Amino acid sequence: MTEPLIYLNNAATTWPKPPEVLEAASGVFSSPFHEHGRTTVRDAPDYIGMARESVAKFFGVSQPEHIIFTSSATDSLNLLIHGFARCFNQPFHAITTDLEHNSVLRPLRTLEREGKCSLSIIRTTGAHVKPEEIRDAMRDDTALVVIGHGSNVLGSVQNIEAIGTLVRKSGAFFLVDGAQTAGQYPVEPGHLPVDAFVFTGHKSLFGLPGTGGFYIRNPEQVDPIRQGGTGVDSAGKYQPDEMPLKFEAGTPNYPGIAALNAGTGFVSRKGVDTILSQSQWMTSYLVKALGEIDGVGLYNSSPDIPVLTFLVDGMESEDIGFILWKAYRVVVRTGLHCSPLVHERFNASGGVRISLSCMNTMNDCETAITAIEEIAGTMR
Amino acid sequence: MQILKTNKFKRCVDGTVLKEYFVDEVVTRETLSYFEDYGKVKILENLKQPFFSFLKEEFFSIKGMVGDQTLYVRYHEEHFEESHVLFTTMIERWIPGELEN
Repeated sequence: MTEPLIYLNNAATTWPKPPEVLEAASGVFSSPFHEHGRTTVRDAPDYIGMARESVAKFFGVSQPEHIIFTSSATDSLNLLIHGFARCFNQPFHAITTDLEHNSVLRPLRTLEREGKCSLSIIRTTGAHVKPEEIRDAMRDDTALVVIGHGSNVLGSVQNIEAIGTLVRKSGAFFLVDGAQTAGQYPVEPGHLPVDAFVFTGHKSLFGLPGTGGFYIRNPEQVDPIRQGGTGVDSAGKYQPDEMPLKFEAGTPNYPGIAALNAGTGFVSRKGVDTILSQSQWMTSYLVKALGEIDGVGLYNSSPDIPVLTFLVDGMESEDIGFILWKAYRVVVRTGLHCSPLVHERFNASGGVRISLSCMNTMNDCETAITAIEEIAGTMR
Repeated sequence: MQILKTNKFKRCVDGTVLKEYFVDEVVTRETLSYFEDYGKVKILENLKQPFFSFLKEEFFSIKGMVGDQTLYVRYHEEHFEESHVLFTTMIERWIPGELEN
């Protein structure tokens, strides 16, 4: 009999999904889609409107039309970063950190290469970005600050309230990448000093890949970089300014957004605080157990979210991940995790990341610990 | 040993090419002893299933599990053609039981 699969790669994509998410995704095909302005169908569920309401409520946003659906967090970051630069319409200074994912670093570097911005990448020393590091990097022409709320390598969560207060006081646009926190760490961007907050559907909100979105406080600070059909105002020559149409062109991902709605409902019913305390308990157990294994080195021994990266002395991360999968059926992620800069202080070729979701159990953790102990034992 | 199927083709930023081969025989310790004629073999014991790696400097490396039929091969891109010939020759020349004769 095949051994059960132990899935510990939830920072990439959560698995398994709650049954109601799968039912919601397949359920949308039982009737024609309610496409606002695009069909005469009137009695089908308005999945997009329902999801916008529930996601807005989830994030403490009082204007649901300021929640925009996209295809991913990467898509959202591109729309916001490039859209901000287009709207600003003159060269500016931007700040980010070495903890960021390529979905932040690459759009910013692209702007820098095009001469549209100069970029400061703060080299952090610990797992957290200190507000004073942002303050010290700010210049008179700083117009954009982009920070990841949760690190996908170190599992640290940044104090976006303190950083946001500082950034917004200066008049700069504060963009937060919440891909790793939305759904597993309490965050209500509607009540925080942020100008835009990005989320993804397929991680801790338990939706499907191909979904994501963002909250934007003042849409006038960002131009739409995508134009097309909106179902309404079809005679207009340009993309409407009305929200959410300003940033949503083209037919939406109905099954994906219905699944996101169901996933958000699942997380809300379970409670983000409950999810966090459960995951912190399992993470602490893993940190303690792995920390006691000779030859295992943790990147961060006090993560805020259930993301734990490690290495075994004398082994490449790729080989550790290979053995975990082939011999123990444990799924992790190896390498640079699309966040190359943060690895530079540990190992340039990357580490092994364990990431939990609320669907994991202590048995999963035990299996992983035993496997890693045996792998590390081969190096002694 | 014959290659039944070749899967995946990935170019890595370090200039290597990764390929996955499914072969008609499981890799045994005897197979690995034979591989030692061509390069350096390392076996990690005391795992649920032993892991092996093989290195032919500047040409290719293999990793896999003892008892498995899949070989994960990494080639240096600049030597891909000759390395691939060397790898397939090494694999196809292996006949189980040969070392006992």
